[in-house]
Amino acid sequence: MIEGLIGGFGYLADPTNLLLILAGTALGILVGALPGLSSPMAITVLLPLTYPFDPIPALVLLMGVYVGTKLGGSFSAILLRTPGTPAAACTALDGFPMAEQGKAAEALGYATVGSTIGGLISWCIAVTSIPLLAAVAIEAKNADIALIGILGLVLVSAFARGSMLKGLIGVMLGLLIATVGLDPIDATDRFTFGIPQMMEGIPFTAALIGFFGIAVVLSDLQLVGRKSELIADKVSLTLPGLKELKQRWQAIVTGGTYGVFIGAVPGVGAESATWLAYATAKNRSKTPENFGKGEPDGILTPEACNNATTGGTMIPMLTLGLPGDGSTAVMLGALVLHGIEPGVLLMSQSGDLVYAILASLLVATVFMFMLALGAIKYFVLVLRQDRSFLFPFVLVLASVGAYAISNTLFPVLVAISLGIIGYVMETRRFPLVTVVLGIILGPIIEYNARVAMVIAGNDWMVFLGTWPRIILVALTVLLVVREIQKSLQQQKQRREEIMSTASYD
Amino acid sequence: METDTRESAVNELMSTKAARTKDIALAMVLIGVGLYGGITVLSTKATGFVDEQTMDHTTLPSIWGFLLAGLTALWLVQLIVELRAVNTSLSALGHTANVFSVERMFPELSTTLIGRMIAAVLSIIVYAVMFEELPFFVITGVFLFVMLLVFGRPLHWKTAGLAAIGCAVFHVMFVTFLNLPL
Repeated sequence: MIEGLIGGFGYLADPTNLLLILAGTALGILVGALPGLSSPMAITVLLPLTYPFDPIPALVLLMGVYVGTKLGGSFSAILLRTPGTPAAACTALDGFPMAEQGKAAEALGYATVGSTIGGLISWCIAVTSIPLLAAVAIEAKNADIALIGILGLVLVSAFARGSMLKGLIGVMLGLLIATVGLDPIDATDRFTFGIPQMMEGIPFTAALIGFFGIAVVLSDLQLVGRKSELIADKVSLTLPGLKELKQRWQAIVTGGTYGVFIGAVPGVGAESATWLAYATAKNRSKTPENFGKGEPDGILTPEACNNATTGGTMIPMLTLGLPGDGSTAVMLGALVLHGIEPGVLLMSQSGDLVYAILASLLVATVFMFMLALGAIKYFVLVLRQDRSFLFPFVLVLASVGAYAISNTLFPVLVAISLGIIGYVMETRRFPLVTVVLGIILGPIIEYNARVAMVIAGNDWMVFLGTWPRIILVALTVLLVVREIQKSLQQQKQRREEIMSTASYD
Repeated sequence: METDTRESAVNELMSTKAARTKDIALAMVLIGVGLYGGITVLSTKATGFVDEQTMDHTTLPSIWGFLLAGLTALWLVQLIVELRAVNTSLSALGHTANVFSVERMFPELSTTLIGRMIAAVLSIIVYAVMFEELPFFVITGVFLFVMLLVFGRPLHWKTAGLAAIGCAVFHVMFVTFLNLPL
């Protein structure tokens, strides 16, 4: 492991790779700071820039963006009370009141330190656990890989925003889209409608650009023309002292631990982890009444948690090929784009890439701290701008990214079509990440399931042949049944609420 | 006071009714897609000499298609139950207003917003078509300028300057540095 890690840092000794991480982190902080723009969107529109790169420079650039957006979201939460990313919503609870008290610099300092230490905690846990888990995961056979993929999709549906039923519908739509083109075993064409370009299937980069690029721009067009006023005219950053950090270590460790372990559950991401960590920190505090009024622990905990999810989400992504959140789903797509199959064999087949990704996680966290410290006044400049400046540039990146897939119009049309579908689904509160995951994991599930059946002589029992498989199937079924039951209960509750509206008096 | 409370209850119910009506329309489309996928894939013939397989090229796509239709049908039932509850509540409040007005169904959409959306989509198509006809530098500059105007920037030399700087940066990045064949 140590050797692998040294090798990983060795790749980053290349100045180009270091510059890419630095640029990615800076861009990530900017994007994260802008409400409405998300980390998956930033990573998606950057994908075309990575086409000519080798996998390592491509992935370390995206890692920089991923880490940077986590901190950037807190800047707007503190200075505008509008979180740049959903995961930073919790930071606004104490960050904004502190800024209102004239302590914006201190609030930004707590956020930066919390994010950095949270990121470091998660890096340590990810680096030690990933090689161990990968050693176990490598034993997985085709049937296991297919079942892990299905369980991952169900987990993502269960924890994604909105109801699980909507999540599952999104997954099924994604899986169905993934079957377009020649099938992976005997090359029979499916849903191609006689269009030659459809033979190769829906280009998933175009799908990513559609769902995370064009759909997001269409959704956010209503923000055009809106300018924001910052709570502080001049923005600086004041770091808390070591003595104070020692007093508040519990808040940071609570956030960090929640971030890593909840982030490691596929599909959960930072959004729900930060709220849980915040609630725990508040319950354990000697002064819970100060929370919500500018309590430093109320900034340190969610920010440590938010950045700790970066390491947590790497665990399922690098060992099982399952994304922890939307950004890692796009990164899985980036792996496929660069000819690397994500999954249980990733560590054994591309160990150097895995260690380079892990090394870049640490370097990006350090860069994030340095950039925030040295250049915060420049980052917050974007908060005063309205989106009309930004969207045309995002659309150029999206269009070029789609066109450059095959230098034809076809992927652009696919991206636009899926962007419109994504926009409609987004307005009806469907978690788009579930559709994208269906598209990414669909071919992996189908290929492995069919190979497993062929090897087992067409015996369906191959999917229940070992204890781990029985556990995987049982978990999947239990989760689906429980969530559908919960969904029906919520429905009943919702109906009663509606009926009670009529008896308002 | 009571009239205000009643008005607010009616408004809330009407918003819910509009939202559920749109959900139902989407659910019908998704059921159609699922059924179409599940049924049509079953009629596709395997190409070449393929051995008989229990899990063949139709198995998983048909499962995904039928599950999409089935799960959406479950959602549709929930939506209909909720819509009926809304209608009952509205009747109890003595309200019979029609939900099918553009303002009620799409309160977030203004003419400007719809115009911007259509312009954005059409511009992307024209932009991509023109990749093969005009130099990247020129077409990107024009695209950026038009999009900045569409998104509310004034017709001003500063807007043109921003578009020029933007296309120069993109040209250096994509064509000079990354060598993409644009």
